Amino acid sequence: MTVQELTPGFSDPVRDAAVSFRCLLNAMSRPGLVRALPVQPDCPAPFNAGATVIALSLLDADTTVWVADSLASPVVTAHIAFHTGAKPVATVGDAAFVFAPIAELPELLPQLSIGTPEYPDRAATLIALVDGFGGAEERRLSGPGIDGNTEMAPIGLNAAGWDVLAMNAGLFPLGVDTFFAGPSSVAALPRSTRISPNAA
Amino acid sequence: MQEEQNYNFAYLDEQTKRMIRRALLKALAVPGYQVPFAGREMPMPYGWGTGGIQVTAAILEPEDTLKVIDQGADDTTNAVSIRKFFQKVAGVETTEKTEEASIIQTRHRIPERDLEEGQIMVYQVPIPEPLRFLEPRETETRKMHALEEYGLMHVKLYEDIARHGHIATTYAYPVKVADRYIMDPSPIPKFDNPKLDNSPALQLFGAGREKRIYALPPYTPVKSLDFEDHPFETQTWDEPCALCGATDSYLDEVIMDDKGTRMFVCSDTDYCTTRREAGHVGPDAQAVGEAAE
Amino acid sequence: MYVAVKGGEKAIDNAHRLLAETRRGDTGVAELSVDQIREQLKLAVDRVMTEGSVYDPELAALAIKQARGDLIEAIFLVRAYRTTLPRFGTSKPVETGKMRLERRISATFKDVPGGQVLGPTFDYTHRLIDFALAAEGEPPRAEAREDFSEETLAAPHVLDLLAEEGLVERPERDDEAVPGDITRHPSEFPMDRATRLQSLARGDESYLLALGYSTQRGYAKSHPFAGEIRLGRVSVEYVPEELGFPVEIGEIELTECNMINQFAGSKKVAPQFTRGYGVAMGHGERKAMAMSLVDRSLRAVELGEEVKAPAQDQEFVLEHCDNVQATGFVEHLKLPHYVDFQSELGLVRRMRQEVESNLAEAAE
Repeated sequence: MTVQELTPGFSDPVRDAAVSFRCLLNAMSRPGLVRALPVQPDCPAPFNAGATVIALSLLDADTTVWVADSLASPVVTAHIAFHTGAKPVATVGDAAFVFAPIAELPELLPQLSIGTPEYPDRAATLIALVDGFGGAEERRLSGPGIDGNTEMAPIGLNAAGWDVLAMNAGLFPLGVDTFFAGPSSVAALPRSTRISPNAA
Repeated sequence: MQEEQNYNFAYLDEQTKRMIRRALLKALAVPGYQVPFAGREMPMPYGWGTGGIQVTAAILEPEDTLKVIDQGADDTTNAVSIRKFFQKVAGVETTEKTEEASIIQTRHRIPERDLEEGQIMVYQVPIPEPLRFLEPRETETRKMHALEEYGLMHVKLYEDIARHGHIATTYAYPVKVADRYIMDPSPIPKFDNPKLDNSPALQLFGAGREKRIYALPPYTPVKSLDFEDHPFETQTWDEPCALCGATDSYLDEVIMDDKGTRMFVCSDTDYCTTRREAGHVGPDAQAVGEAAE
Repeated sequence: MYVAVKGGEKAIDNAHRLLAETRRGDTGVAELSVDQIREQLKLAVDRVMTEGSVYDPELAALAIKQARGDLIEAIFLVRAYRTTLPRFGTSKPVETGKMRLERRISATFKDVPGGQVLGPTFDYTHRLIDFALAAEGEPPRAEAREDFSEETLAAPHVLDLLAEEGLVERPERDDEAVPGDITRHPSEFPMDRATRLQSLARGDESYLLALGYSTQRGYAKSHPFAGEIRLGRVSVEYVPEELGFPVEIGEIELTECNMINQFAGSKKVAPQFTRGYGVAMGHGERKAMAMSLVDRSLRAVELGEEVKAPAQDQEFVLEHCDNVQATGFVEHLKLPHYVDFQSELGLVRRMRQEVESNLAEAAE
């Protein structure tokens, strides 16, 4: 990989990181609510903008990362190494940040770190790449950050995926926190969110 | 105000901001749980709000409008000092108006005016551990939170009732968050506790010296601890604010002379000013006005 | 009549101006230069470097000047500056065994290879105020050691000689381990020894002095001997990634103390002496000695000793050793607390009323 082939990072690093993080903070504080990305950086394929923004905003040399084989193109690997310096780990259960396509969520999520009873914050954050929101499988969400209840349907999240996420929620206060990263937006599903069948 | 060019936007370096940002996301995912973070030395002393300042610095974006209050007031010296700091190192807009602020950093109060969706409260926290005065050891209190073993706290509150007939905690009154973690709401008077519950605003808590961050997402149930036969109650006053006549705000007692004359005025200066500008008049407003001239 | 407390901003500006004026003092007296502080108040500079965790005599001297001689304030200034510095990497462990010695004494042997070197010490001075100093004369020059050379002034650690025989434990050594960093990670208990030593190294000198003293007075089993105290200069080496071999990036002055303590042994381990370790930047003997006593007492659990004294209690010792944290929290009581006080005032009034009405009822 040469410098020319490397995808650039944020064009205005300090500002872009600040506004991107606020978007992520808003997403995590209101589970299920889809937030438009405030910046659209160049993406190393096959990462979409959501995944790229999350990587550039949250990863650095103090974090561990695991990227699914299906996403780990040379350009993605180089992008993460060059712009963040995050430490790649071989075992997905050791990673603080895990990037995977939504289709791999059902199989992957049960393998991730859920934290310990004394340090539940040491759980992994899963970044599941999606094509957007408004998919076929909708679920009703409730819990902290949700005024009453709300609906969510990331494209590509199937019933099996929702089942795994519901089991994850049952582990609270342990469990994995998930960002659904789309090409122009993100939404979050922390472990604290309860998942129930859609009323419809 | 002149923006300081020698420091990064909002003072903290980007790596420190990312570390705090990651902690904030985990804090939101486990509401009320105290996330350890590697707090940095700040250019103001521990105890002056270094935790809140680090949280504000990590979430701030250039378009924000910041309000800083201490004891409910925008013009107390520490509030002024922190506001000036962010004007200098971040160049953000500041305001004294609660409704204009996107971020409100506070020490010891929650504004009287209802907060709105999209607003962020940042609390400065001295001792984040609600169980600390019952058990000084971190290894022990951490275990108690893990096991949801909160009997000791109830025993303490019940001892109050046995001795005094009521709970004798008036500020930093412990709450239970989303039916799981017991949390210290920072040293706000218990008068403010109901405002924590189901708030549309995002509430973030930073303890710099103790290196802990915790959070309440909007619309999170927050219950002040109590007993069925001794329900939680807030402070009340026998008189309205002497300046604006408010009967629904937290009042500070001001000693007027050496003969014991006292008056009660709103602790929330913005609330009081806004009411007076709208024509509300308290019983002593005229006397005060004359004296000021 | 009530006048709202306004104008906080103006008051702060004025206070800052007044502070600058008071710092300068009588302008009829020559202003102190940073060089003068660095050269003539070296022990203060060294303490500020140690507890400020930055080896930079110039910066520490400036901080002392700015802090009007308040060392904890100076330490705070240095720390706040330190936290903004970029971090290039971690140096190799310094080899104190190769220290170019300025002072080196052992209380456990009459003579040791390399000799006892008194160096610049207050130890055998008579503490009589020297009024000659007020006259600002030049001091007499000390006679140089005849055998002065870089080679002769390096000497092996005294404790290494005992370790040969197995009489004293060998220090743990792991050059490859990535050291913990108390400035980058929140503390977690129980804390390993390397991280504890980091906390103690930047810990308040007087606090460690009092705790170390308490171990000598029976609050923890101690029986210490000053195996060796050495002061001198060591090389700092760093391995740049692109080179792959260590290069010397500078030299720093350190004070190191190896304290020897008794250990009764157990069923599995033969009796041997254990160590407590202390180190300080520059010349900081009191700090290094106190630190070594507290390091040893904090090893109680590891050595199977009963933990009953304050100096053996990790959480107590380490959570309170940082003077910047301590002074902040103690001094923050100056900030307004009138909202909380109002709450308490209301409560006390109410409780007093209740007691009075109870008494009145009882009287009827």
